[in-house]
Amino acid sequence: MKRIFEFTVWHIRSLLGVLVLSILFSLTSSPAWSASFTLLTEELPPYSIKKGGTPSGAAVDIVSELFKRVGIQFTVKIVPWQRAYNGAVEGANTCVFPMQRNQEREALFQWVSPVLITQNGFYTLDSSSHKIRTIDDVKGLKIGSYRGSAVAEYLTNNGYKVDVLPKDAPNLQKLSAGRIDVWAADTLVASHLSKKTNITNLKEQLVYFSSLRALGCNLGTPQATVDKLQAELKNMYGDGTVEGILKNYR
Amino acid sequence: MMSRCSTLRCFKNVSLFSNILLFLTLSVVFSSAQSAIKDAEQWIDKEFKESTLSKEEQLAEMEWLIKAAEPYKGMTIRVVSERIDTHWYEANILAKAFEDITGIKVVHEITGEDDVVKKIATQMDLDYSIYDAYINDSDLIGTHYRSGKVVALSDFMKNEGKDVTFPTLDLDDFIGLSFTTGPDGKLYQLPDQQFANLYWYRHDWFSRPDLRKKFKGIYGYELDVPQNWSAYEDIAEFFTVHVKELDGKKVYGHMDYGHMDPSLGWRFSDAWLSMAGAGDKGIPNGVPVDEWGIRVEECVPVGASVGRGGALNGPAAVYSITKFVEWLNKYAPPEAKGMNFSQAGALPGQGNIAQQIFWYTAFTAALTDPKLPVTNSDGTPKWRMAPSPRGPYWEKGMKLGYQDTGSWTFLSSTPIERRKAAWLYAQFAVSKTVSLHKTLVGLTPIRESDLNSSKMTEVAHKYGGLIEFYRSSARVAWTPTGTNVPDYPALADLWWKNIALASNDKLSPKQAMDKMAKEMDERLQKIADRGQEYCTPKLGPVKEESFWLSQPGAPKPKLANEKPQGVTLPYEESLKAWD
Repeated sequence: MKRIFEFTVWHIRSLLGVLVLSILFSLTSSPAWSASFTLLTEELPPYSIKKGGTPSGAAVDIVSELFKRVGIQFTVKIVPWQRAYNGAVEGANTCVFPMQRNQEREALFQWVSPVLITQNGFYTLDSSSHKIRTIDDVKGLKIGSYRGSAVAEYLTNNGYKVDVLPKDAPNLQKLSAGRIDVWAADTLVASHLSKKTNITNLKEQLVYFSSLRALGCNLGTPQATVDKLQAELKNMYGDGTVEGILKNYR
Repeated sequence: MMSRCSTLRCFKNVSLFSNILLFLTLSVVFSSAQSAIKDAEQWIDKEFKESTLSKEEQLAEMEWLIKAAEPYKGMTIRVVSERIDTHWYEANILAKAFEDITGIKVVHEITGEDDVVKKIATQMDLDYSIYDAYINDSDLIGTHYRSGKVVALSDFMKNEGKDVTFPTLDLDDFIGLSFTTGPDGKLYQLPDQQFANLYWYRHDWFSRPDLRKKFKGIYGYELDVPQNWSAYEDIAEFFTVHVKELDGKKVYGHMDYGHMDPSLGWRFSDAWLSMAGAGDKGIPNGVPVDEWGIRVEECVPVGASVGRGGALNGPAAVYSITKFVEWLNKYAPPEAKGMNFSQAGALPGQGNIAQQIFWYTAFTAALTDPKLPVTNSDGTPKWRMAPSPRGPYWEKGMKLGYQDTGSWTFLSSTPIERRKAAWLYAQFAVSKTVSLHKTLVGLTPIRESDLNSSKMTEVAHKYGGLIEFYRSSARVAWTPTGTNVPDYPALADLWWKNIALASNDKLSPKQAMDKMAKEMDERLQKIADRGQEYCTPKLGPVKEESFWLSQPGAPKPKLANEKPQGVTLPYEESLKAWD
């Protein structure tokens, strides 16, 4: 009996030991991409749409497909931009998207790029007498954009005066009512909003800037994970997946 | 009901109809061509009066362009370049002129240089067409040549691009073609604008008898343009430690920046190690070891660490970083350490900096603003630029400074018709019809004919020595990154990430450079594993450092005296010193 007990205790101890070792092993040497990631984005239709409980949209679809293909578990959350940005700076296994890569941000993230190539345009009403052939033609005009947008940041940094609103959608109403001369907007957003609001007398005058939008992950993200995501993203461009997803939202 | 006709009559009718159609078509074409020529003439009269061509020659060049552009009329092409005055001028003025003259619309995007590099790297990596042409720094020539994805312009001009190549392009007139030529002798990029890094100083302060006397009293030689780093260091100390204040304002003998971001890397990858003398002799870049410390055998990179025959962590490189950190701590304004390139760039204009060893001439126009304290009321500068001082490891025959050569670059993933239309715009932007005026706007010369023009002589006094530098023999020792660097986008971040560790006192200069050299070798191996079309890196065996340090050339052994006697020369003589 004692022997049986001893054996059982030894056996349980051994099993426990194996279990502890397994846990330790899984913590220290499991492939990095087995960890679950939190992918943060802001609400920006049609790139990120908060509808019911499931986030969707062009950017959400691309990033979700990427993580699925690489086999990394993930959760997409739509939160205000600042919270998304800070979340990825501070939180392990957390990324923010779709983010414009720039000098100031470069040292703060591990990058997977480009999850999107977006374009910004100048929009007026069909009836507008303003002719915009090059970017300088908007000088002196009332330009509308929204706070925190890369569009507004680009124009302001280059010396153009921009009226910013907390959200982009009301700019279309402002343009329609003649309260701004030109709306500086993402081309996909402009097309989405004009369809949604049924404002069809919109004229795209000049597509003046293209941006590479990236997935910015916490600096602690293992290089192997980043390399794997980057390689798969390249495949998604090569096999037409990215183009196919974008088509659904044009 | 359809009437039937005899064959002859039908033929006659058809023939008459065809003739009328042909006549109408020709009339439309002729009147459209006439209107385009009229547009061209208006642009020449209004905007391109300053040209090394006569008006008739300009019109003839534009007439050729109108005909060549005819098949691409109505097309919209998209190009991208960095954010400097020259490119703003192209984006807002030349793009419009080109559209009026040819009917081809150009969207010329402007962004940061790092973004241009990311975009071209993305298009090369994904084979996904984003732009029809890039104005990309020639620092990527080693990348472009090896990638097999960049169009060799020499071939393009002879073959598929023959019908859209300006007969008046005059390639021999360009001053930067050696920077854009691959190891195979082919031209891969066409220069669009060039600027250099030079030594900048307050000529008015250096001319003051009281300051000259005081300097000579302390250091035993004249306060003039420093020829070596010893003199630069003495002058830095003189203004920060001994002069301290001028006209009631705190002054500094040095200006630089040390914040950890990509802009910190630029000046190091551009020329800092070459100014100290870390590489080998050879123009435009050292052979076999260049200013990045990368050794090549034939055209194959074999390593950057001293153990593999490179010079990235050799005594000269470590010396250069030591001086960078020391001068930043001792002689620059205290806030400089936390600044990046853009923030630091504005400081010399505020009037309390006596000299700056590494100053980009792209700032010339900005520093001639009459409202600035460094400019006289008539708009002439109180400052001058001159060839930069040399570090103790530098020897004659080596590259010294850096020259940025933003150049037209075409990728094979761009559809041929779009590439041809973009090539027409590229040539228009550098054509003799527009190039002298563009140079006067942006001060980034690319053509010998513009530099030697009487107009340049007339305006030279306004630009603090820029024209004198570009006309001097010194110019050839100022060159971009060369062909030893096999993949610029994949390697460039190592500079800022590692130098920042030294500038923020987290590692000693020696530790930072040892770490960087090791990482550079690892990245070279990664590039080799990925594979390139030509001259793929192949790391050489690691040998004792003493072996390499005892061989002639780079890597060079530590000098017993890294601070020889300071040498200065009066401004005019400093320009002639390179003759």
